[in-house]
Amino acid sequence: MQSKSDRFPEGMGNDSGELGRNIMDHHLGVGASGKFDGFNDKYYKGRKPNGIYIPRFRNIGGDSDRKDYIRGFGYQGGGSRGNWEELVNELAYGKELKESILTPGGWQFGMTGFGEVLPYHDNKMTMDYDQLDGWGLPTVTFDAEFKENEWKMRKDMKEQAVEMLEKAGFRDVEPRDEPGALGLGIHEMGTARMGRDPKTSVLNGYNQVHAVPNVYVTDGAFMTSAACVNPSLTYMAFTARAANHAAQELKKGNL
Amino acid sequence: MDRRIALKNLGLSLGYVVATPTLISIVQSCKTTTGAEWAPDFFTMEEGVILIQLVDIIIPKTDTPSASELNVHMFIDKFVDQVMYSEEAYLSYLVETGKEVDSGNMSKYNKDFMRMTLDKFTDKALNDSGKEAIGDLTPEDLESVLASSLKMSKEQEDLNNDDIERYVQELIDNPETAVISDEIASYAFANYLRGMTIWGYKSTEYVAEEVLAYLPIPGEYIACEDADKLTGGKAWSL
Repeated sequence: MQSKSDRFPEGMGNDSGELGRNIMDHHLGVGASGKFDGFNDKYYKGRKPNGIYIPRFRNIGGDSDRKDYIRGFGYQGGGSRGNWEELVNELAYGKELKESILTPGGWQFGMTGFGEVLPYHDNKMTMDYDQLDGWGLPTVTFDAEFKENEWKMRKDMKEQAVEMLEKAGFRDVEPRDEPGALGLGIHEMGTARMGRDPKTSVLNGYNQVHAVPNVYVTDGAFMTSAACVNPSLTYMAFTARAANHAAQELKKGNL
Repeated sequence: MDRRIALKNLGLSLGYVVATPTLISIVQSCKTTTGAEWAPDFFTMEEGVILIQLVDIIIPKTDTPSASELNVHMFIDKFVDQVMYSEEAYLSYLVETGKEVDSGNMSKYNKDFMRMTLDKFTDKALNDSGKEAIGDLTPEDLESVLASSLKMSKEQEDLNNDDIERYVQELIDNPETAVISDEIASYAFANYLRGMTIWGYKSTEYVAEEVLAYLPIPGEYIACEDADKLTGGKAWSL
């Protein structure tokens, strides 16, 4: 955006005006947790990368289709044995309290949703030439928000988590909903969308800038929709594909 | 290892230097011998003595060390002194971030509240025992206030926490008229001190490595197994 020229007055490759637009992320911090009585003789050892994953089950056809929002979400979660907080009220202080804080607490289970954020043309980043940074460069302004589809989906994400935990037999099921803002998911996507038509997109199908074929953009910026899964593997796959394309084009003498 | 040497080493590892002219000698103050001397940073000397007694009522010596034997009182004093905000800074933090007042946060953030509620707690101990100076308070005097401040139903705790939150909100909205009852203040102090004592105790190197099950470099992962077999029934420290 900062690379301006006579050919590209709005920033390099920005013939479409789409550069900096359609910022996406995942919305998260919504779900539920519950407690479970029993299995007090069971414990775990070591570390795991994730506990459970519940893939998207909304808007995939048939009964799963919703009238109030499009797209969907997945859940991540896991079980663990708790800490002393639950016990201290009754034990107050002294020897019994000491015993209890050194032994594993009751089981709890938590799940948190990762929901798709739609690409909105007016969710954007722009350069602010009035507020410069310490090196005299323009600062970035992010102007992006969750909209109706995300808010309606969040409501469902919370309700479904509560319902699943209650039906599974957990007690004291507590919903959680801390929306924060775009960026908290640290799954930033968009701003240089891929597409067939140079009039409505920045990159072609090989992550190559339409009007500047020797420039490839291979982070999350090319994404045109966010899905609801962690995007890193997708970035890596597209990057490998783009790099292979660049190598082939070089060999052919096209770059 | 000789426990006194171990405790001395623990003191050193906390960066505690025996060079201050006025030190609390635990030998004199509560008639138990731990061999450690200490000058608090945040608390007064008298409050420091109270603190030592209270952490040991909360976590007494059994077949494992008491809280003060592992210098939990020093940890609390340093934490309050160096990590907690002043009340002014805490209130502006709440206003600036728009965060909701949460009674659970007070023990982490507001050192002036800690001091004020400690005063209410010791006032109650003096009142109940008929003594005049906090230096005269015995562990029994303190325990009786601790008991009346902590032994209550979950419902009563929730009501107390609501009162604390109302008080903090009032400090923001209308500081002139913000009041908190002596009872709630004593409860707040006892409850936060208990939380910090447990946290400090479980965070000590000794408890983490020698008392709890300790696995600093996890290799295999076992999802579900008999607790006695895995840790001897102890909680994992990390």
